[in-house]
Amino acid sequence: MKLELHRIRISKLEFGSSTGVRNGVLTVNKDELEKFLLEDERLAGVSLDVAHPGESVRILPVKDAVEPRCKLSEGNEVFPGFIGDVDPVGEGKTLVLEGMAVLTTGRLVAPQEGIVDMSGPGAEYTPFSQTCNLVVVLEPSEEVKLHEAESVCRIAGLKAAHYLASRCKEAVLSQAVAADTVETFDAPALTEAMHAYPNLPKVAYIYMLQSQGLLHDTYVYGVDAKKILPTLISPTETMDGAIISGNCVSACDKNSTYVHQNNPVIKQLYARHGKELNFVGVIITNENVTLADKKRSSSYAVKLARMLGVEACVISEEGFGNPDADLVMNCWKAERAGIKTVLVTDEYAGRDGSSQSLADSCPEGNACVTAGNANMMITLPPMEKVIGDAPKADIIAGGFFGSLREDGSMEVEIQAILGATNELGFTRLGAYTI
Amino acid sequence: MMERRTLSGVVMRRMLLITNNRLFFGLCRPGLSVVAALEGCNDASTPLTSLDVVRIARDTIHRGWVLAHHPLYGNVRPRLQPFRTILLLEPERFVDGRPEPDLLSLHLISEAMTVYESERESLALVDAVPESLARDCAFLDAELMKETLAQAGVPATWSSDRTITCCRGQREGERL
Repeated sequence: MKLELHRIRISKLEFGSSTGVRNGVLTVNKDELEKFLLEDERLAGVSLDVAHPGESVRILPVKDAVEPRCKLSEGNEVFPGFIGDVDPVGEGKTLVLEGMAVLTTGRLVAPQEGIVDMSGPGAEYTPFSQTCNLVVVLEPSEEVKLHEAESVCRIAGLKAAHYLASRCKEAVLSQAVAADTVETFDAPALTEAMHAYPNLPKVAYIYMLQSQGLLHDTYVYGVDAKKILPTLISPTETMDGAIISGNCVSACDKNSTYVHQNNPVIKQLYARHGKELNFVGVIITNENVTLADKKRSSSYAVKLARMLGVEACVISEEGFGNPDADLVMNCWKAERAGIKTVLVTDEYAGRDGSSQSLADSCPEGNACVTAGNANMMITLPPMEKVIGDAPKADIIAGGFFGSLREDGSMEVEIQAILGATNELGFTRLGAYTI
Repeated sequence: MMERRTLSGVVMRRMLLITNNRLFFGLCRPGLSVVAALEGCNDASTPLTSLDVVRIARDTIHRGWVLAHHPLYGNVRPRLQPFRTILLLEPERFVDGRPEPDLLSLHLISEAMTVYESERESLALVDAVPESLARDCAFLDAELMKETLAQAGVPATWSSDRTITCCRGQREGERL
């Protein structure tokens, strides 16, 4: 499978009479897109806004972030099971509007969270302060039940993202607009992959997906991930939106759809492929609630790694608490099968950093990358503009994550900030050698 | 009800649902006991804290009962969620006629106690959160138990007014 990503760099968003891209400026026909989204009768209201890096804007509560993409080539469309059919993706040519994101916001259930500040100290913690954001404020109809409301908001984000890319497609195909970069990713057949680079260690990636239940779910080709056995997926399929986030809880370390589309672990494994290691595959697995499911999925994921004959695995987690047990089971089962592991997680070590970081651990987990301590406190200054469910901001801040002050500033743990300690490494925190 | 197969056929396994979530108080199923008013809490109008629920589960696990699911939520801290529900299965292993504690259950509930104890001072309390928030939190707690209950043979649905409904086999629950 070979996939070309044709990237157009977006440096500014504006509203106008027609949707299209020119010189890095994406113009959006606001009325057309709002009407398009309102075709879903389960939505009572949709409004659009834009937010750019450096502006005094706070967006909350953000449900999902999606990067606009669509297929340039024939075959199934992106976001299979939602926008595209359920047939495979990950091949051909895909158009990417890089440097921007669709952020969906709207109240689903309390407690709410997911703050994106476009400037100030909070902006330093979220990668989405660096993107030009089209914010889609969604209001599900009153008669829509919670399950459906989550689904409605999730699908609206995908539709908006696909709409934006699709409106730029003709200009690219007619060569009126050229992609700024074209990057090719190859995912060869296993027969070929196994014999490539015989002197390099074979490495797989065990990609854990949140799947605990309502507001804690992930979808693969439209299938609820809690219903799957661990399975192989091509890394190029993830780039075409085969994995969709329905996870609305724990903003700092949930993997939004944007992050699944741009998984940094996959990116780095590709960068080292053929040089330091032989990247042979991605195994997706879930993070279910029952102990039977945890045992089954961890055993099965490691069994797949053994079938691939890999010498090492990178294992990434999504979320915290209960999923720490899945991470640890995946780790010790792989290690005891002779497969070395590197774990990627984050920590809840208390505000002073002295508490136990994970809810579970094992001696075999001796190579662990942390994305940071989600309990660290930060003061977010007031912003001139708030987009989203502003009246609920006091509940978010005061009731649960800190305190909302009279001047509009907030004292919160960085857990409330979208992507602050993302466990795929899609974060602005890092350790640097000076 | 959870089943296990033996040479002589299927043996039914009793279950214990420990909860401070009002949505579960009326849940009835043969073989299922709902523990909502124990350990000094004699009526359902003064619900246990989430920490109480975990502590009762821990003590019960020491008596050989087995966790059906992980005792922590995924992605929700104790200070954000006043409710907790834990499903236990009756002891399976016995030594000299006494139930033998399940080591995995003991390990996980001990780790969960550490997490809940670390937030003891800031625990969300049912009576201290706004009613709308309490309703949402109770609903989410019930939702996150749905898969566990279904796998244990207790299919339950929640109606639009967010009250729990047993799907079948309703009758008075057993007491311990």
